[in-house]
Amino acid sequence: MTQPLILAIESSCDETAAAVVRGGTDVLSNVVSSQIESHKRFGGVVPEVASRHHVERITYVIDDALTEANVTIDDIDAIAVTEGPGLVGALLVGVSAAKALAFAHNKPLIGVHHIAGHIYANRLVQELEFPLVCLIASGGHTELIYMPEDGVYEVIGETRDDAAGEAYDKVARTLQLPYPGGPRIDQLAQTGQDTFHFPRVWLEKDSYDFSFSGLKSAVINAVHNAEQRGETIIPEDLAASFQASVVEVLVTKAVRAVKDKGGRQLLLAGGVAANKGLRQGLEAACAKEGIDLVIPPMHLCGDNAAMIGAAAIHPYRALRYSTLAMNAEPGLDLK
Amino acid sequence: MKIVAIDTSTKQLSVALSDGKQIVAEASYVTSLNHATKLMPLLERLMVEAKWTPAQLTRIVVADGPGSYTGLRIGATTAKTLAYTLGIELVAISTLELMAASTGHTGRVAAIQDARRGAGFVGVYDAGKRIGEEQHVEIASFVKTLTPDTLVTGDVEAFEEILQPFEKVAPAFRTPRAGVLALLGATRQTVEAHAFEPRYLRLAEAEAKWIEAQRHE
Ligand SMILES: [Zn+2]
Repeated sequence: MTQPLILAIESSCDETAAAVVRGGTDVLSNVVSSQIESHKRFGGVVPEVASRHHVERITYVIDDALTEANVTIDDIDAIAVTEGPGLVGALLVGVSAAKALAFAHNKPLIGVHHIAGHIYANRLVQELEFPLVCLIASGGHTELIYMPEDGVYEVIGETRDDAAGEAYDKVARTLQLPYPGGPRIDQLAQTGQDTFHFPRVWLEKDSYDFSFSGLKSAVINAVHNAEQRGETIIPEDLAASFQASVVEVLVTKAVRAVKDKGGRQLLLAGGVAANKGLRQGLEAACAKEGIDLVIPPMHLCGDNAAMIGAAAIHPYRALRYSTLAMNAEPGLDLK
Repeated sequence: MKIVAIDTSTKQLSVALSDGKQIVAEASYVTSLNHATKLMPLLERLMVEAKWTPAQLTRIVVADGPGSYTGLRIGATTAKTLAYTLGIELVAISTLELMAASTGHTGRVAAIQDARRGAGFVGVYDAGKRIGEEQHVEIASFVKTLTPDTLVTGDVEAFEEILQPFEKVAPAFRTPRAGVLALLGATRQTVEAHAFEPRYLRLAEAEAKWIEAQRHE
């Protein structure tokens, strides 16, 4: 049986991306046009600016993805697109383009949840074994997801305030690091020591939820107090202390979820999956507990369309197609 | 020729098919609906009823603004993706020109879109020819530039007092029509699909502020 070819599109935030994926596992092309240089001057992603860039880039990116995969649109079996969550104006560009392609060539259209995409990025490197637990950490999300089988998602834990990535960005701003601050903190933390001993927030005993706003405030207070006393803060140590708190909580809860749920694998997904401190923490804990840990390579951690193509294969085979009335869903739930 | 025309730039959604000489089919939603969910099903329905297939299309005509930013992006992305993937021509026509043409009036017409806080997107057309530049302006100062014989169309109710001295287009002819767009676009110069962007006529707010801040430094 020949494996289906899926053309996937992702435009939920500040990357305009398209990819061609065969059978949900085989990446023939993965084109990402990043807007990060444009948003740097604003210190964060500006939705209206992001949406305008998506319109400029969208067909170039689609065309590059087909060319690099050495296929034409006629070879494609289905069009997949990120339906949500994300910035509504940004999502709408990808959704509009996907619908136009599906209509023009009479191909099935598949709406994909962005987080499902991040999870299935792992399937591009290793076959998934269910049941599994996935830790999602990104600028907008911190979630623990239990998957009893392919295509079935159960959110068992989520952040009650800031996402981990958000806390990183705010701490980076306090340290006046250039945007995007998350990777800079990770870099500084590599050479620093945990000297501040910031609190670890566990919430209720059996909860898989997270809370990072208290930690964020503790870091900001530490910086302000030092300023008032005329002391200098060693940024490397502050970064290392902040990261140690985040990583310990994420790793401990993720490992506990795998044990409680009888998971056969622990997956890491989302932009923060590129974080060295988190990778090292998870690797150490999983080695100790004998848990099969799957982490996508760096280039599949950030937003890309190959992950959307990977996640689309299950709904494609289950004939769960979308209609041309598909909308962008900025607050879409993972079901 | 088999032309598809799309306008999603204002709160109205309009789609039409044309053979280049006549309107073959045309449909509009005049009330404010979700363009994202309505555009493609409406286009598909017109195509099915006219027994046209996407592969037969020769040209896409789109109203490229100014207008609602989100609406513009839905129309522009749909139009440029269709033109690119079908390998056919793309034509962009000003939404303000379309509004003026949709009145059917052959004299001087000022098309006005409400952009809130007393401002609007405006364009003046005389017998189909543009007079001056289309712009984002204070409507109160804009009307001082109009000749008394100018007919006004568009969001005239939002500026009732200011526009009081001018004759208004009857409500039935105030909305842009894709059928008119298709005929306007039948003979116009084409644009390159990949590079095509809507004309917002205004910077994103954050960008305007950033440029302002640079100037002060
Ligand atoms: Zn993401």
